[in-house]
Amino acid sequence: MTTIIDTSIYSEAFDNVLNQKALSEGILQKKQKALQQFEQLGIPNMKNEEWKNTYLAKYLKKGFQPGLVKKDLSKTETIAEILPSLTENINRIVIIDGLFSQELSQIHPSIQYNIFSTSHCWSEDIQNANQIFSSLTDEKKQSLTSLNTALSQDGVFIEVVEGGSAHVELLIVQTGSDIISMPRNIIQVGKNAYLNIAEQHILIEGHSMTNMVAEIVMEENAKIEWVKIQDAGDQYHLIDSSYVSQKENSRYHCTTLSLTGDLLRNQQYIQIAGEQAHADLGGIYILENQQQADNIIVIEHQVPNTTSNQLYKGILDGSSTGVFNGKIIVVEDAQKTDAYQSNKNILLSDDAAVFTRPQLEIYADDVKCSHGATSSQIEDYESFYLRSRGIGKELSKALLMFAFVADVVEEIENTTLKEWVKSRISTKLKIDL
Amino acid sequence: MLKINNLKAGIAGKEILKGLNLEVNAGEVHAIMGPNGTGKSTLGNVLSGKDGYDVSEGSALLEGVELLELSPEERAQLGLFLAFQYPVEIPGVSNANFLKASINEIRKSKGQNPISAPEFLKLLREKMELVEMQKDFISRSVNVGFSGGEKKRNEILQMAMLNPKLAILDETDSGLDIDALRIVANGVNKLRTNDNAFIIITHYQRLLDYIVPDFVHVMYDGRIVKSGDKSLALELEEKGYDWIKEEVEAL
Repeated sequence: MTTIIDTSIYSEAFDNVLNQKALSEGILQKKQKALQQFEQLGIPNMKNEEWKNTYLAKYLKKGFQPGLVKKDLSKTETIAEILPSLTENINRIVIIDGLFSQELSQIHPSIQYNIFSTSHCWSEDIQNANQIFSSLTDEKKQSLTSLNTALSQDGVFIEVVEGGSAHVELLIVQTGSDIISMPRNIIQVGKNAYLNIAEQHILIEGHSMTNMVAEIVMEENAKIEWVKIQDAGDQYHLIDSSYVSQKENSRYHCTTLSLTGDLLRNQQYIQIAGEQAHADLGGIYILENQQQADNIIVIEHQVPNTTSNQLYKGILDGSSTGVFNGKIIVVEDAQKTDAYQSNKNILLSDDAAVFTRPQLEIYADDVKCSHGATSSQIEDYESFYLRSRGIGKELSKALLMFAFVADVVEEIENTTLKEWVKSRISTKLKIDL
Repeated sequence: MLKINNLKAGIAGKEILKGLNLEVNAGEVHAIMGPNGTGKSTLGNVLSGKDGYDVSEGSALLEGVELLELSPEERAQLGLFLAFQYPVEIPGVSNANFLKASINEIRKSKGQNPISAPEFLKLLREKMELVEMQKDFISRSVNVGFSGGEKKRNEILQMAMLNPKLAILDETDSGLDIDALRIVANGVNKLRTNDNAFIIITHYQRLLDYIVPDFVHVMYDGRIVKSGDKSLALELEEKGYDWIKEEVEAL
């Protein structure tokens, strides 16, 4: 694949990163292999099917480049003031420019879980974290993920032990620099264990790009509820890739709320590898100006009797762009798969665009797969109903937009997470009830 | 209260209201009857300001204010209410929040402060009793999963909460069973005062057994062609509309 961007700066960055820290032989090998893979794959361009509608080079040209991130403690106090107020009993994990912040994170000790920085796992040879590292990403051959594997310096490892539960607030803070930050997160949820994560992104000043990767392993009967709120302003660029492996009867539910950002790209690669397991992916993007939000989903049903559900809704104004690529793969033996996918959009402006590509690859014969996509406008008769109750035009429109995305919100089981998402959407739509 | 003078309006170049006149005074209930397709619902929609209609002539004054130049929300803020034949579902927005938004937008237009939470809840509980709504209704999304009867009762509840000067009920009785009809009618009857007025658009006489009108009008071909008291409704029930058509066409 040809690229207009010189990749030699990437191997130079790699040398700098590796010179910083002693890594175990196993980690080093994985990183070297990933760098080679990245050099082969190159920076994704629009000839790549998955990047057809996303001009990554345009964003990189704003000056973003790989490099060594150095810890800058002088900013800690300023950042501390900006962070949302602490919720009791919730573990706060703060990642600044891709580095785990010991100073601002607050982990409550518990026998139910372990939370370490990824760099700690790499230098202290934490076995389970290091075994998972690069095990789910390797075969997918995503160049930006390979880049993260090679260049990431830190991130967080969360292990919820068998039968345990953990509540986590994950704050991805960018101080504003040209260096692309590469947080690498590793999540392991044990048998019958539960994890919920409230993630949000914060940009302190200037512009930034984050290329974040998570590898998520779910044991039997494990459950994850994860909400990601992306609302860090229009100088924010994010490529967020999650690789999930699900064992029997596990439940993975991730809801992404994309509200502001120059580029917000969400990639979810889910392997459903245990019977009765279920994956639920929800997304809402409310865009304006030049904003772009991508949702790339690949769900692979590898065994019989599994289910998945994708529900994505977008409201696009200005000259914003939405991309939805949803792929469902059902392997030959995965009979009785039940997979559902839906992407619905409201276009508020003639210059807004949405690219929806549902893809089904089905090799089993006894399956139920359905997909649907629509683009529409807010209907006049609906708006008339609200206005006839004395509600002004703007608020009527906002309430109908809220109503349009409501089903995605309603699927969030955890009430705290649900209310959080609701209130962020209300604020975005200027609904004050 | 309401004075409609020579109202002509249509949709997509087709004239539907062809010079309609109607005067409604405070304290009165008017029933508008007539065969399908004669412009009854159009009248409600045009008065409430629904998009898509062209008004070519005439006026409609509510307490001296020309309605036809106002947006739908301005008309509602002045005290006009339309109970819909097909109420819209609004997922994710609770009835309580919807009603609060509505009341507060109307208050805002009058330069008043938003209603306080206790005051709002007290009012809502009181009016819910009026239309026999269950408690869980408060937190349910507007009209989502409501039966036909519940939707119509919800329209009456909204009306009760907004306390309009003039309410237009557009075929509120259609599709209602006898119990729902009784609840709806009971609600309207309890809301009747000397200061407000109602226009009840209906196809059948049935509703008028429960809400006794002061006047009954028959619409045909975009105009009111016959007016009378409640006995006219009974006559229509018995004889149908054909004799009206014949009368009009004989002219």
